[in-house]
Amino acid sequence: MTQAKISDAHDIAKMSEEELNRLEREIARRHIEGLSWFMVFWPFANLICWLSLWPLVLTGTLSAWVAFPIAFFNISYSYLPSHEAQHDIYARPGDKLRWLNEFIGHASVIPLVSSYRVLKMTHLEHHKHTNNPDLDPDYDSHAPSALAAIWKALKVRNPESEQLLSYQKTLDRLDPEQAGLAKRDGIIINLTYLTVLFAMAATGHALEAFLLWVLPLALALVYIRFFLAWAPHHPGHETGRYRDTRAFKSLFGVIGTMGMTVHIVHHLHPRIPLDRTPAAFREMRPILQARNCDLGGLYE
Amino acid sequence: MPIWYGLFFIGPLLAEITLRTSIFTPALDFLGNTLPIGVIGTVETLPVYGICITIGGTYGLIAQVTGRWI
Repeated sequence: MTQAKISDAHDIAKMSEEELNRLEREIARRHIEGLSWFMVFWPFANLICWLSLWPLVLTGTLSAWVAFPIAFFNISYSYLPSHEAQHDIYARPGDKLRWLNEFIGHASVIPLVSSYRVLKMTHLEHHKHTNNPDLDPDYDSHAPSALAAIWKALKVRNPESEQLLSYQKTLDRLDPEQAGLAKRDGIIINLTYLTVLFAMAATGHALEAFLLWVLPLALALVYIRFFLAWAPHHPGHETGRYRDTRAFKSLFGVIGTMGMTVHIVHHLHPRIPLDRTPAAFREMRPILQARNCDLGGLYE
Repeated sequence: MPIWYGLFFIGPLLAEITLRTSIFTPALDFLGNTLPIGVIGTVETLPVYGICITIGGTYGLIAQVTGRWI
């Protein structure tokens, strides 16, 4: 840390609550402004890449075994653009580019076999009630250790998984009309997924479907649940704006964790685009430190 | 739904893994060396897809009843 930053941190420690709030909001506002073109490019490139694997593999141009890790990457990185859309980061209701926000929200999670509406409704509840055992839909992702978290995540696709039941419970207490649409979307996308798998199997391509969709999906769900749900909220005993989420160091770095090492900034200011969150964290760090947040020694 | 998934995807997948890859070869070689010749002869005449679809359907049925694949 430079001398200037130490001086800043010292000044910040002496600030009043009101001054801290103002400074934090000012940093957030600067990072929220304007569309992030990188986050617009990402979902389209990712989806096109994954879709193009299918004809390449089915025509024998590309080995399914080579396509498998690419599919894993694509499916793992399909969630975050939809996550941006869930928070109206691309465009808010009534904005000119609102259609883009909704299109990315729905389309980017096709490889993840997930409904944008289900994800949005449950994720916003997660933000409202983080770490609340009764109201946080992602509370079941808590686990005492990384290995236990991975094992839990492996069970997410079980027919009666904790996550499925928790999401159903959450939808049941929200707006019935929106919840009905969300459930309908979920059924359609799951039936479509099964239809594709059955058709592939019937034509002698079950192995290709397994390596392009089934196995990468199972592994991607572990990766996503681990870094998006477990790691940033571990141990998950506390609630409150500045205590329910943490920053953490990871061997995988910021990119390898999909930017989740600085997830605390996302919970505080959900409309900051993902690619700008690390920079926002670095600027906010002294403020978060003054607020006694768990920063896990990140960027010390 | 898990039953359908077991019957129409997991079963054919197991069959394709058996017929198109060498993943199960060590296990099949082991069985070939340990089981009585009469049993091996009988098993070899059975349809691979039929056996695998039965296994997949059974696994799907168990998943349906217990609510879990693993």
